[in-house]
Amino acid sequence: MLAIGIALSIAAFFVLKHEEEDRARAEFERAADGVAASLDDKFRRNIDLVHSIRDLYAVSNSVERAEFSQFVERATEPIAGVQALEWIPRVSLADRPTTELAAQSDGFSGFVFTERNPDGIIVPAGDRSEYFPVYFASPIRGNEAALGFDLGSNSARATALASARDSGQPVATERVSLVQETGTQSGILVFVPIYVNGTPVRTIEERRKSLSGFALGVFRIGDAIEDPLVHANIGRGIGLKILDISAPSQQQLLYETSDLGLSDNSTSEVAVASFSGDRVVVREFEVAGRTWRLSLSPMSAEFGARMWIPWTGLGGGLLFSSLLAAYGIALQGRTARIEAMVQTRTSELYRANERISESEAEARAITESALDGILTINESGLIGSMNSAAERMFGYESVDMEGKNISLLMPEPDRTQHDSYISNYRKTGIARIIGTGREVTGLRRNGSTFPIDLSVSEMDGDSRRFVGVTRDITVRKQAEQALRDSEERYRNLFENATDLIQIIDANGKYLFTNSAWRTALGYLDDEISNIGFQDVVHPDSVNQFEAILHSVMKGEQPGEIDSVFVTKKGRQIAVRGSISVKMEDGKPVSTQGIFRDVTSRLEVERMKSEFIGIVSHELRTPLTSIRGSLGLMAAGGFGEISGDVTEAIDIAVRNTDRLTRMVGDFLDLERIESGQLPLKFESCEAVDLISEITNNVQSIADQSSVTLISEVECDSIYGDRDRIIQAITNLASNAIKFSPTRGKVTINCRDEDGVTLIAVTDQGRGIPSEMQTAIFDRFRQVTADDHRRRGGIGLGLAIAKGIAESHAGNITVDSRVGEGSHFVISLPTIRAPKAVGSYLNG
Amino acid sequence: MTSIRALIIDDDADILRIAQLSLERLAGWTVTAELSGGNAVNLAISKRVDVVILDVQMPELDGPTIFNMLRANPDTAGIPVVMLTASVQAADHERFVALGADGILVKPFDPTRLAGQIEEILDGLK
Repeated sequence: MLAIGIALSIAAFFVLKHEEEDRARAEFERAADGVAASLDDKFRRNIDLVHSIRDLYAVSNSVERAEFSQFVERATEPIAGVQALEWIPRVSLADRPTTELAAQSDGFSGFVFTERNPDGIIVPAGDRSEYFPVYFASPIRGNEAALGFDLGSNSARATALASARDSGQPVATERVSLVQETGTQSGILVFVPIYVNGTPVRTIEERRKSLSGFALGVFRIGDAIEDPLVHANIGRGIGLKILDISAPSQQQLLYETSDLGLSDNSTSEVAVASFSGDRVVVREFEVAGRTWRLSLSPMSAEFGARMWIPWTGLGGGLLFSSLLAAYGIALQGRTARIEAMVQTRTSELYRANERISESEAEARAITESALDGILTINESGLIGSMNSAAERMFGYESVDMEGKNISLLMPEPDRTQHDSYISNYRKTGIARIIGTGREVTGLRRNGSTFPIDLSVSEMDGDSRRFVGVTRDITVRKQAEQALRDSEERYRNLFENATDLIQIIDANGKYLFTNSAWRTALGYLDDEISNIGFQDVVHPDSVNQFEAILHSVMKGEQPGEIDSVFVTKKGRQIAVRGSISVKMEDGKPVSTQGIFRDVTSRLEVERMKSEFIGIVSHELRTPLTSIRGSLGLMAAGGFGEISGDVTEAIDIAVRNTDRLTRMVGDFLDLERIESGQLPLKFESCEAVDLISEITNNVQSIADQSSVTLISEVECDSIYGDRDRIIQAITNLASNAIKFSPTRGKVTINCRDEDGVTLIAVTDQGRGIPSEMQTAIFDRFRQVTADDHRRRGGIGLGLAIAKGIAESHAGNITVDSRVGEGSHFVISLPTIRAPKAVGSYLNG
Repeated sequence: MTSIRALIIDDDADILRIAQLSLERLAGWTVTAELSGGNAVNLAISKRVDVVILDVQMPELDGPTIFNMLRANPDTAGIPVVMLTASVQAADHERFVALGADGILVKPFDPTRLAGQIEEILDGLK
């Protein structure tokens, strides 16, 4: 019995030892399986996220930036390890500038395609036949650096891109360092290829041809691994090393830590001493075409075998009860194993269910939140479902429309045509409506119609069903129409303008001219592209014109331009106009000129100047004779005169003088306004100048018993002496004429802030405020009978104004009715060179 | 004081007559009045004039031409010449000064002051 007892005890010892080791290993394997399953699940779900972007593109032909980020934000809560979800379009070299511009106009002002140079610095991408730039990224925060990065520029990424494109399957990269990474973690990218909706993708060639881009998921490996394990509180006491065994050996290590439970955020360098031997559990799973190998090892006492059990069993070997106990313990171990297995299977099943319901909820959320209407129909054209956008668009409830014919939503003749499509499809199996981006007309419940952008694709499944995506493009159509209308309006304006309009490129070649331009210059529309401004501008003016073009292209504004054009037949045309520049990207691309043919106007000006000369001579000569004869008589040249004769001669003299002054004023004004009044600028002594004015008007002041006061507070006045005297004399004689008897007229001159102010102040009746601008117009007086009662024809102020302005100065009036008027001429103390130039040219 | 002898040439008969009357009646000058300048040099010599007054704008021979004729002849080159012009353009005045005219009078002139103005010019030459 003892021998049996000893034998049994020894046997029990080995049984117990084996059982205990089995139990410990099983427990560790169970924990390791949990880790592996959790990670497998995590990465599947990550890849599902990338898939959901493909779904977005499957139901919509063009996705706007805002729509993309809205979709991503709705579909995914922020998930640890998911750095970004992105849209990577395929862009040809030719389309690169428009793509970059489009992103810039989306608000990413610095957006350009980039790549890494050999030093790893991000630089603008060089030329190549096609690009795969990061175009949309969500979230934007933290991923700014990746925007524009051409994934085709990097070999690890390019390899994955090509493989995804050719296989049509999601493909992950090997370990890469992320463009947006600021720490030390590695990342992987998962590409899901997206093809142009409705194109065939059965063969590699077809897939290469119809590739439109990629949905991309960017994952930070450390975060993606640690986060779910920490949350589920598994992995404590387990060392983990993950290798990507599809990668070259030096690129294999994805992650390594001595204890997952410590949740340090980087690949741990802590000793991983016992990643060898039979205690290491190895698991493999597939991540988007790559095989990841997980090596898990127990790192703590939790997974140790409890060796005291067999020894105790042996120590009490003779005790039957201990045998029973040992047996009981062994039995317990087996039960625990079964329980563990049930638990693992249950949680797997639970997770699978959860995944299905999540994926359904996700699909429903996508459909319901879509801005586009989404409808499903069967092969008979009967509606299966409508999303809320479609309900709103057409004005029907989804429940009312189920089973109704889709042609209800179409007006005639589309309705009839659609029925024939369907019957044709039933006969031939050719679905003609499949495709992208067709513009059709929709019919609302209330009978109104609206334009729709429609794309239809076929759903996977046993029965043939189709999903139609409709976008209400009313606003877009209206905008297009408005743009067309506006373009037409401006084209009409441009073409029908009587001015000569021309657009010249940066090299001086004509791009556009309007019909007035072509008529005036004698060119046909198709000859324009062969000529430059040198062919049109007169040789004498061409250097000046070229200089103006250069200054305009530098952003300067030269103001009014006078030039001479030559018609194709050689006739000269004087033109006056302006030129402005059109900039693109900060560079001048063309200049736009608008000119008016002033040949006849210049001719008129020449005749006017001739007329002034003639009037000046022919009108003044007879006046000279009359005034001379009268003067001789009055002076007693023909003997003494007296009484009525003296009086009559005085009247004749006075009126002749008045006529002479009027002719003189009229000629002066003409010359001032046509810019033909020559001015001799000099510094004039102010005291002299003012006293000459007072001398001029002293006699009329005396006649009206008006006191004349002069106040000279400056040394000199700069300008044409005679003309300044003329202007101020006009003001002073007006002031005297409108002064009450015994009134005061003050002439004051002084310097103030770089201008000389010459003021004439009276105590007369004043000028109503509504007249204060008009009095400077020629022939304007405050009341209609002023010229009869006060003399003058209303040119004095116009002349004073003209003289002030031709000195680059001005004239102002401050007056109150009943209190008097205060006229001020201000003249620059020294004339600015520019004003001199413009005056001399004018 | 001895009477001043003047030759005055103007194509406008009225102006010519008024100038003549003004100088003769009001100042007591001896005036030779001519409607054109063809005979100017001879008259200036034969009448032994002290001053020649020339209208500027005249048909055929204009003021500057007659002026040049006078200056070209040694017998008349020293006689003062006053230009009578309707132009108020400073540029014209400068042209006459550049030509060598001794004085410029502007039309319309005041007949009561004409003699005085010419005398002033002549005084300035002494």
